[in-house]
Amino acid sequence: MGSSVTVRSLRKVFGNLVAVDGVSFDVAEGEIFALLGPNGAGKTTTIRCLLGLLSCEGEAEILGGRPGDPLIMERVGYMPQAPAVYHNLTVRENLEFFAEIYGVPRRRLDERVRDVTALLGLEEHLDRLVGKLSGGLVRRVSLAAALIHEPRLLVLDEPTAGVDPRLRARFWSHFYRLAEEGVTIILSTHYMDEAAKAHRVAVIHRGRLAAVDSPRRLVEETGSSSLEEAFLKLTGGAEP
Amino acid sequence: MIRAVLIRVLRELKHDRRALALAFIAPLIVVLAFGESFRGGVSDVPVALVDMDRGVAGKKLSELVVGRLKNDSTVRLLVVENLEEGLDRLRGGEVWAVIYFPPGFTESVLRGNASLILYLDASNPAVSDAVVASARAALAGAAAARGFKQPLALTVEPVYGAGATYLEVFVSGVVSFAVFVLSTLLTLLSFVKERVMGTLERLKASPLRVWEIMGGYSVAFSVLGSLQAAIILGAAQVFYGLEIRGNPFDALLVVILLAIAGVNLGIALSALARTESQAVLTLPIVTIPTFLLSGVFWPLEAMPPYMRTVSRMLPATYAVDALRSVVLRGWGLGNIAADLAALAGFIAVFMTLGVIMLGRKE
Repeated sequence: MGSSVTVRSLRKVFGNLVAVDGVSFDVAEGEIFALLGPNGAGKTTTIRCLLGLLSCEGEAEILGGRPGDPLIMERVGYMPQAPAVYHNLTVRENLEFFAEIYGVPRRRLDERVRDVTALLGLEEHLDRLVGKLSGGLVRRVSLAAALIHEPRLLVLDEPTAGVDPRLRARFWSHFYRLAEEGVTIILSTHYMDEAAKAHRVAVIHRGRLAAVDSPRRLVEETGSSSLEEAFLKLTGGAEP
Repeated sequence: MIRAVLIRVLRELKHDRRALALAFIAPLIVVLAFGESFRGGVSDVPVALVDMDRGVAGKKLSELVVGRLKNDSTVRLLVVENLEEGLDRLRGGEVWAVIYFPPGFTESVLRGNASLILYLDASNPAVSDAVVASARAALAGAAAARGFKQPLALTVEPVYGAGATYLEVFVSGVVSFAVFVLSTLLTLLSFVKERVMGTLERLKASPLRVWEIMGGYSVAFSVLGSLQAAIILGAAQVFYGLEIRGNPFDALLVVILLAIAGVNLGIALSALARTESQAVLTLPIVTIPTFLLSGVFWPLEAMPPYMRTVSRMLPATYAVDALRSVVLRGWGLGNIAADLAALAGFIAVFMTLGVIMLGRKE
């Protein structure tokens, strides 16, 4: 499997705060890679560096190119932490907009909208304004917008925050299916059970990588009984 | 309980420094714009002077009149060789009027049928009325100095704007104001919303280029602005008999350029306003100077000269001038080229600012 994402010595400083401090990792094609850490650990900053949304020190290569390059970004799907969809548009209008800016051909548009809405159970809401939908439904629309153009790299910033367990299970079954098709998925989370579902986990603590490995090996190597225990050991104790 | 709400509101303001600063800067701008623009009367209006008076026995009555006009701060006299040159300057928009003393002016005065002829650009009554008043005062003063019983007569020949109604005079200002304010503020609010909702972040992580975002907004608001202008001008024609002397499509071009300038200013301003309340507070900063200083209702000629410099830094000033020229003077693109070029210049500056603001990475 080729490397889909390569990050070397990523560093980002905001004023006095070193948000990301020398982070390096590789993510293989078709891999589900979780950035696990408490709030403020540097997960979102890492993601934003990776997508070229921040100017950061160090190197980042995604899909063999430079973050921010339109030709590369065309194949990247991004779901930010905020809902980031247009509340004055219907679900369909939102999806059509994102499809068009990502260059989905017109003839494939209906099919793509049908597929992602079926997948996320949005069919009956297609013509409703996003602003009238519940929070969980808005999250689904946001994920649908990130999937509409069949990206090769999917970057999800806390995709399941505030999402009920049933919907979370549904998201994950879809993530596995995408990974099997060769889609690389990078997601951030602060839920242990969620990180445990990823192929590999990068534990981020105060802007640094504490460990990168599969959840099972993280548990084994730290002599822990659960990922939560491993996480606490790796991040230096029980403090939050 | 009221106390708790009061303190919360004040604390929120305290944390939003930008909003707080804008809340105090905005009224200052409003009062300065008002105070400065209404400080004086009409002054320094360029007027061409054609003095062909032969005089009688070496004495020229015209000189008596001219002397008084020279001491009148309302007009700034520009001596030209002949009537043709004066009228050319009038038609070229360089002067608002031509004061013409015919060759037999002094003789006619002595015979009792004098006529000083004032060729007038009456497309802006506030200006042309002031010029007429100045001319009358000078003639009356000259007559009184000579001991004539009645003042010397004045013939006013309107070159532009003859019979213009108030609506025809102000409709250009109304159109410019509506289009500019709407395009600027809606874009500003839109962009602030994009930022707050996170969609801007998403767009930046997409293959969209910054100029494509700006281009899309520009086209959308040009269409909206054109429709707005069409509604205002159409309604004015149907209900109030507005007569557009020039080509309505030239007027449309002015509106489109103004809307694009507004959109790109809105985008640039969105970098200053991070929250919706900040965006709302920038509202008076955009609307008040446009309303007071762009010649919408109050002509530039009625402002102190240094305020005219401020006016020239506002895009709507050029749009109002160009539209008024099309509506009242019947001018074509060639005559309003300078205004159009100025609008294009604003677009270039605002776009550059917008690209910098949008493309900026932390």
